[in-house]
Amino acid sequence: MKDVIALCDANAFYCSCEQVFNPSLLGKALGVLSNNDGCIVARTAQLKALGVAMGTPAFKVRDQVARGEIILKSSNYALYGDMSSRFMSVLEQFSPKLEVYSIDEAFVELSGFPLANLHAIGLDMKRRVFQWTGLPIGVGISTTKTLAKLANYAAKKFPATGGVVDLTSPIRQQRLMAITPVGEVWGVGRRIGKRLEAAGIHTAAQLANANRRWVRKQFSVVLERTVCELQGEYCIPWEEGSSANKHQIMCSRSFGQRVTTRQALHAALASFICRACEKLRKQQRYSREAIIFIRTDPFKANLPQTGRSLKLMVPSPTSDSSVWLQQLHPALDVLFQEGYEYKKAGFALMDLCSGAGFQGDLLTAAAIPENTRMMTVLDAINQRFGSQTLRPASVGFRAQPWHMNQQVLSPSYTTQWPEIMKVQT
Amino acid sequence: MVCQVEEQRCSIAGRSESACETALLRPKYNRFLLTAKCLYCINKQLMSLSGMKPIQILPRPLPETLPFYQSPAACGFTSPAADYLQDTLSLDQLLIRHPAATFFARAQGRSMEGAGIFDGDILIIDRSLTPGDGDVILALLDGELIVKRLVYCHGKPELHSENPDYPAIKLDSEEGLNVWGVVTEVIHHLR
Repeated sequence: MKDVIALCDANAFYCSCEQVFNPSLLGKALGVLSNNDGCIVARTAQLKALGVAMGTPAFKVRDQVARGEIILKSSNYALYGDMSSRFMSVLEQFSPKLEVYSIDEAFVELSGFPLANLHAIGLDMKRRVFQWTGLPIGVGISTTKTLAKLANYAAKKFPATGGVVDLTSPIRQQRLMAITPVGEVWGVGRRIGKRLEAAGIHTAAQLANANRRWVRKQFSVVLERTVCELQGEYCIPWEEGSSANKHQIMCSRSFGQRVTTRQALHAALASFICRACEKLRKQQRYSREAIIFIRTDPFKANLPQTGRSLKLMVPSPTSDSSVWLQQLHPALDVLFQEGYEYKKAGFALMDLCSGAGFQGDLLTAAAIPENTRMMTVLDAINQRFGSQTLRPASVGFRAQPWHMNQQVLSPSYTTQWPEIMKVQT
Repeated sequence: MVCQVEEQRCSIAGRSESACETALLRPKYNRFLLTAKCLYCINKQLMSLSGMKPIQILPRPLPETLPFYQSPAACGFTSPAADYLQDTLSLDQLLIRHPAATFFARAQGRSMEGAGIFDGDILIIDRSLTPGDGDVILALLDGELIVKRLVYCHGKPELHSENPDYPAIKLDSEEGLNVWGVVTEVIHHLR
């Protein structure tokens, strides 16, 4: 029996979430800004039509915003996270096998359904997700993940498809790949895309017909796997549950105002460490390796520039924030330099493992440190009273210059009672 | 005041869910001391609100969660009720049939008082339901969300208020009707 996979993703997900609760935004040129109101990271079709590219800094469209032609919103991750989990639970009604690939897309296994019904199932998914959550989605169905992604691309690209494309038939696969630029294939980034173009491979079809050994030699095993998948061979393994954030947990921010003191940088990094470790504990995993970085604003070319990062190691895997906090002072001894205006800092936990798999080395205790109980209490308090109720003193108290700018933030309609929708009777 | 704790294994009389929380809310636990060196601090507002003294954090193992009913160790009779234990009643279970499709909103205005919806009430809205004749719905009209009763009159949808001061809104056709969700419950605060 052939594998059948659907890739469902929400259209302009962040914008759609805003529109569900604020219908006056429907049909408008709406954009959602990155953390800190920096640049546009989600766009409605109307905003795209105005020629505003992904990643455009907010200040570049300031005049159009003032004239009311463009509406911008700060990113409201509490809302998007809640809407994402609603979206995923509707998809789960169709199949128990779901891989949450990111906040707005998931692979759904549909093996076992009659091939003739797949298109109807896709339409039903789209219809039900919209009715239950208000989110418009696209559905691509095929026999490998890469082909399902390609089908989804077509569902978005060609409105005549109605947002659902069944790409299980090899004839249709060939036809679509012949007109799809190679850069649109899942796993082909911009850089590899350019190298492929240089080698005379312009379409997905040409990539699918490329010699596998040549691809592996010239590019990588990863791209070879993409070629196999385009040929209908199932190679990219299924990851049960959520594949997002599987391998690292990163917490980084651009600062609201530039930061010049070591103390403020320390406070910012301390809060990133706490946030990252909290996520790690939620996933019940551990890490013994982390990367910490600080840098100035590359867009301010007139100011002195610097960017440094440091890899940190601890003796045994841990999810205890205090272990990493102890490393912060020595780390900043190495990283921090006076005389720079810092714009961004981050902390990433690498090489994550679940507790069971760890073996201690000769010199350290094999067990996961006992300190986790302290963290359990910390998490319980913060869950009950709101995040950051209990926090390390190094994170600080008052609003800090590094805190996020969120000037056009929408209410947390689904997660805070005082902020639920207001409706007229 | 800032309190900082290094060792933080909490336990108060075997209660698992955050000793600190209990101590913060109940001044009678004032006897607990917060041994402090330099790592963790308790939120300033909470401290000043509860007016409590710092709590002590004892090194003692804890159960992960608190069971609904804790029968004491085997001495004397076991509780005759132990066999009849059930979960406590959940309002979610009573009021929410489709969690993924359920949203809350606060009503503003007086036009639906006849339906028992008063200004400031909380509405529970289920998007998964198909609206039918007579349902109270949240409808999208001219970019705004309004609560009305859906009534079909000679096959055409109308949005009725439940207050004689407000006229019905007549829609030309089914296409003119844009339903956001069906209002299934109203939460009305009596005090």
